[in-house]
Amino acid sequence: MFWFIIGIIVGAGGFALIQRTRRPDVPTTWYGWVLGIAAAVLGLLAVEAFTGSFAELEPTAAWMSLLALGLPAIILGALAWYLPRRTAPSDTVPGDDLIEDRPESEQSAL
Amino acid sequence: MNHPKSATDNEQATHTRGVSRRDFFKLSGATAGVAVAAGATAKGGRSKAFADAANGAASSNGSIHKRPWWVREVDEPTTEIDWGQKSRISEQQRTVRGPGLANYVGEDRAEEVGAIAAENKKQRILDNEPGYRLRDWAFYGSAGFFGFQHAPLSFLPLEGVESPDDLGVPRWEGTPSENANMVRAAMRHFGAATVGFVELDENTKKLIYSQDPDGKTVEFEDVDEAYENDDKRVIPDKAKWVIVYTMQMSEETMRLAPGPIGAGTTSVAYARFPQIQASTQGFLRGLGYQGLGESSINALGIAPAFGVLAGLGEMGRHNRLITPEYGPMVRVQKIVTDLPLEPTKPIDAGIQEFCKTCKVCAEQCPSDSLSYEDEPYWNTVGEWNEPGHKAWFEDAVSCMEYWRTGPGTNCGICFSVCPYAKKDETFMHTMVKATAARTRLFNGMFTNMDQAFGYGERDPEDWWSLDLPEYGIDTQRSARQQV
Repeated sequence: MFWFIIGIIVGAGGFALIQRTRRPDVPTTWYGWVLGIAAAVLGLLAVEAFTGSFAELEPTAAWMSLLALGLPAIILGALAWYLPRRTAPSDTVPGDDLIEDRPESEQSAL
Repeated sequence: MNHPKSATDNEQATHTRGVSRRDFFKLSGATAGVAVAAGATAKGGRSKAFADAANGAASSNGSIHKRPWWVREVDEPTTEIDWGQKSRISEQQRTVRGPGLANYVGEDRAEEVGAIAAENKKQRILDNEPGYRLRDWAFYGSAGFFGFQHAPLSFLPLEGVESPDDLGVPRWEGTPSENANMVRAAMRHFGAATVGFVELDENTKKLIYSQDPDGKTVEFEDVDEAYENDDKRVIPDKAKWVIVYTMQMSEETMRLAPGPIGAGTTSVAYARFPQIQASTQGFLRGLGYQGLGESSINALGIAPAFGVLAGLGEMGRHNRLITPEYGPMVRVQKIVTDLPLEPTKPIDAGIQEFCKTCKVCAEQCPSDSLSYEDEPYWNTVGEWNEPGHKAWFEDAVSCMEYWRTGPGTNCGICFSVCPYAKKDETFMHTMVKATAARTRLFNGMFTNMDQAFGYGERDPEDWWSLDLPEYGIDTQRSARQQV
């Protein structure tokens, strides 16, 4: 049941992510996907090792696993989010994407 | 014994183990590299693709006992053997077990250490020492009393099961492969964990004891039926197959080694052993064949040697069998039979290679009885070792003396601290074992991680509150590992 729920969460999250990246204003790169998938895999492994180690009556190993796998997952996830934005043209970076929708007076002020 | 390190060095080595930044980042990198493959196989989803891809993977077609996909069958065991140096040895005269200690230290010293054990036991009970309280000793004594004192262990099958002759029907006939699977299926139900088969030839017969623990000789004769008298036990020449099997011990309980609770799981296994043996002998009798068992614990033949040849595991630094599925947490037993059985091949799961780097058992051994040599060696340490193969031969006398003067029970620290002695609730252990089976590159890091991740000692008082499964073992893990 635990992994069923995790599967639903991951599936829903993946679906939402794909929907978001289909927007033309969201920058995507191949290495962003690689980093993001690696982060997701490491994150899942961290959860698996964390819960599994508790099932083995090994709380220290559980927390160490969370650190050893979860921390790289967070770092890779952050890089997956940040690097594509750093290298993408500014007009595709979220936050700048609504300029054209603003009133003409505000655009000229910008 | 030639130990390159002193006891002080042991202590230092133990205490200085930890996770370096280098190891941490190696783990992260290694994890990213193998996570997808290991993770995908850990839960069984895509097992066949990996099993097929692994060259020589030990998953024989149609076998009910498929090995983990990362275990490779090999023609020669990872333990190097010189059969020319081997000859049959007497269990009674050569080993240190039981009364054998007196052969090496003298009757007086053997009695002295026995008296020390008895005195320590009483004092610890009176002192209410954690792990050595009255309830702990009661558990230990009762766990073993059936196996050690009242078990129906017999070289010849016990009467009771109807044979084909009794029924007036022909005996069972099957191919060796069919027979092997059939025996495995039955023995699994009787309580065996893994089952393998060795064919007896001029070499492997040397692993049958020349003399059993009770002093009776074990002989091969050209007779139709096995028999036993006051002096000898006779194996017919036609009984050419050895069924070698393991029984699980509880990792959780063994974590309390040394002491009565930790030793209790060994005793529980030995209490299950007579039932498995008697049932298997009866099963073979029911098929119309002979099953010749161990007349007492540790009789008939050299268990770890047969275990290696049957592919149940590899020899570890502690000079005992380490299995891919259960690590060292097994007892190994054997039955000789005339039912034709397809031999199982030795395996290479990277276990002995791992032991070359690891050395945790040697560092943790309180009697400094285990070797620190990087490579296994030909030279034995004493007469209790059987020559003719390369191993990390142990100082069995100092080990046995510690049993008596230390905990007063069998020890088992070398079993409990082994990195292979882990449960398998998390894929991480499978990933580590699978990686170690393919490359030695990360072995040192895995050892350090094992220490750093806190797989440490247990509080013996807590054990009494644990909700452990039957016999303290997980009988599902074999199925989980058949991926």
